[in-house]
Amino acid sequence: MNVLRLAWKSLLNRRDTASLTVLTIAVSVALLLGVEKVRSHARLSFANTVSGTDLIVGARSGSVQLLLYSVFRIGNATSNVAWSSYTDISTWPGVRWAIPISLGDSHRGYRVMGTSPDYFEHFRYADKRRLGFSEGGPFAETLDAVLGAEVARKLGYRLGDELVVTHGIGTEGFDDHDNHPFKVTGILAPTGTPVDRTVHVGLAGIEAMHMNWNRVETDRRRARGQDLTPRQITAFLLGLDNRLAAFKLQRDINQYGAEPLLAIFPGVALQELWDLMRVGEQALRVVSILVAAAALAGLLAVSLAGLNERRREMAVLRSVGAGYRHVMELLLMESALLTLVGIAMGVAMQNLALRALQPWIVERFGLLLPISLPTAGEWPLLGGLMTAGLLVGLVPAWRCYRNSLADGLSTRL
Amino acid sequence: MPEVTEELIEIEDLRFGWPGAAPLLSCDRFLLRRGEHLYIRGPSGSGKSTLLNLLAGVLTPDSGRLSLMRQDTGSLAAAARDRLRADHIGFIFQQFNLVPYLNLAENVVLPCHFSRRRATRAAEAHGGVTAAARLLLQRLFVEEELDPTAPVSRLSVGQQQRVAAARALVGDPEIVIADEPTSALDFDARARFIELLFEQVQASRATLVFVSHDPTLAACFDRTVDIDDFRAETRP
Ligand SMILES: Nc1ncnc2c1ncn2[C@@H]1O[C@H](COP(=O)(O)OP(=O)(O)OP(=O)(O)O)[C@@H](O)[C@H]1O
Ligand SMILES: [Mg+2]
Repeated sequence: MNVLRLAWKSLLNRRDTASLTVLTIAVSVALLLGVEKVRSHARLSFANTVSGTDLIVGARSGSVQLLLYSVFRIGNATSNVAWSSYTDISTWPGVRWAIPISLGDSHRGYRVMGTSPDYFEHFRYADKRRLGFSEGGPFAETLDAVLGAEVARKLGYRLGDELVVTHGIGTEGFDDHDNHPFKVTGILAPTGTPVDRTVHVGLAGIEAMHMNWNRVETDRRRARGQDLTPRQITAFLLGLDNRLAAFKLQRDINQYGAEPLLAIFPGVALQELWDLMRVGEQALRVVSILVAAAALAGLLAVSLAGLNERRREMAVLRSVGAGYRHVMELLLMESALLTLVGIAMGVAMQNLALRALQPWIVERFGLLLPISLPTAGEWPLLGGLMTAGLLVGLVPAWRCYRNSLADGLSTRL
Repeated sequence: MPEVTEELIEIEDLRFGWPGAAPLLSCDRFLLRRGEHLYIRGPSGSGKSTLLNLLAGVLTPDSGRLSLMRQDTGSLAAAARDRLRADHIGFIFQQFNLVPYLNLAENVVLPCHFSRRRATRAAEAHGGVTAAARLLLQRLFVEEELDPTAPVSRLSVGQQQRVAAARALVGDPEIVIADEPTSALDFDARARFIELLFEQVQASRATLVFVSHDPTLAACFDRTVDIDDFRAETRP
């Protein structure tokens, strides 16, 4: 029986306090890993939301605000962009594509976005991925709609279903049975981005809806040659021939004469947004580190308290030939075992909790946290905790060494 | 048989005092040979346990020499003294000798984990350390049936002391030191324990150092000393 087995048996003998200690360590590990996972994936999913778009253009406001409403569908634009500005800029040299975006309406809690069919062609997310259709295709008629994966799934829409769009962003519009203007012609494949929670319609469709026309009316008016070109849009996305030209183009747009406009680099704005959230992120981290520190303090308290009761055990071990080295090893090993088992349990707990909460997190925050063994980024955290556990173990080991030096073998109870 | 060192313990001009206290022990010359059975008598608090700690190499003299197996403990590193104790000394305390989370046999083989020498000896004589432990337990528990894998927590004090004796004897250490091993036992248990201990010590030709304040035991020993002979204050 080596010192490790001795330590193990000794811990089993004190399984009540030992398991409580393990539990506190496990909870702190689960928390630490959970926070880390949320942090890294929130960041990843942020970064995944938009890619391949070189500039986002909107009315002059803050760049973070523009990013939030144009790609995250969070908040609202304070003012709009004239259609003429859009058509003008989209013809500028160097512009490969331009996609208009018109926001401000909703359908049962989901944002409705007016855009052009080019959106499905040019918009990219994550690692330059194209939007894919799981059913149907882009809208063709004025009152066609393409649903994000979540909208279709949560509201149970199939191709050909009709839906009502509410003006403004209320959860519930009045239920108008005679007025089902939009028809589902496409359902997008899941992306893990706000696209999943968006109803896409043509710009003309938005206009028609604002006129409160139904399908028949719309067809009639269009036949008469009525123009459904919007006068204003919310923002537009630009793809350029040459990314190097982006800086010049950005400057030109920001100095656009006809109206005050703002052009932003999505990557830079994402970084700014992330910086804004850093305080919260750090606070979360500090809290979970404090919890880990509390768990280690508990470990220390338990081992120190145990030491007094175990003076006898140590004297017996010394009397059968254990050296200081063995006794210190024994105590270090105990802390190491407690920490190690705690970490293993924490990883398991975190996985179980995630398994249970994953659907809710996806639904509530659109964040798909993968269930996995600790990732490369999390190992240093666990390693740090393990090291801290060992360092904590040094304290009772040292105390015990001092005790047995002072006691000899004649320990009194 | 490994070579036999006849002088197992040798003391010269030893002085010892606990830190911050008056000098406690003082001894000019003392010799203990192989096979001797020494009884050290003395009242409580007189320094008997302290002396045993010195003999076991746990404490070292403030001045003078104490040799264990012809090695001066004062000039050895702590780890070397620990090894010397592990290899050559079996120790029995007054009570609470056993490690509560190990079973009977595990308690008995414990010294073999810290001393390769004793492990080898036990294995050579009995084919294995566990076999040696079981044999010793059988000899010390002649009257009762005993499960070597049982936990030690259910043993009576007398039984515990016998397990401790088995542990002190496993792997045939040259010296067995017993610090009042019978003071927690009643009269009958005491007599039986002493008898068994003597049998086993004689069988392995070990030297026995036995400390007690019970004068009735002295008769069993071939050599008796008074702790006063080792005490700093009572010596001229
Ligand atoms: N670890 C220690 N630190 C300081 N002083 C000690 C220590 N152990 C013993 N002493 C002191 O040394 C003296 C002798 O103690 P020791 O334990 O050797 O006596 P003893 O003869 O074994 O007594 P008893 O028969 O009660 O066991 C006492 O005065 C005691 O207070
Ligand atoms: Mg004593």
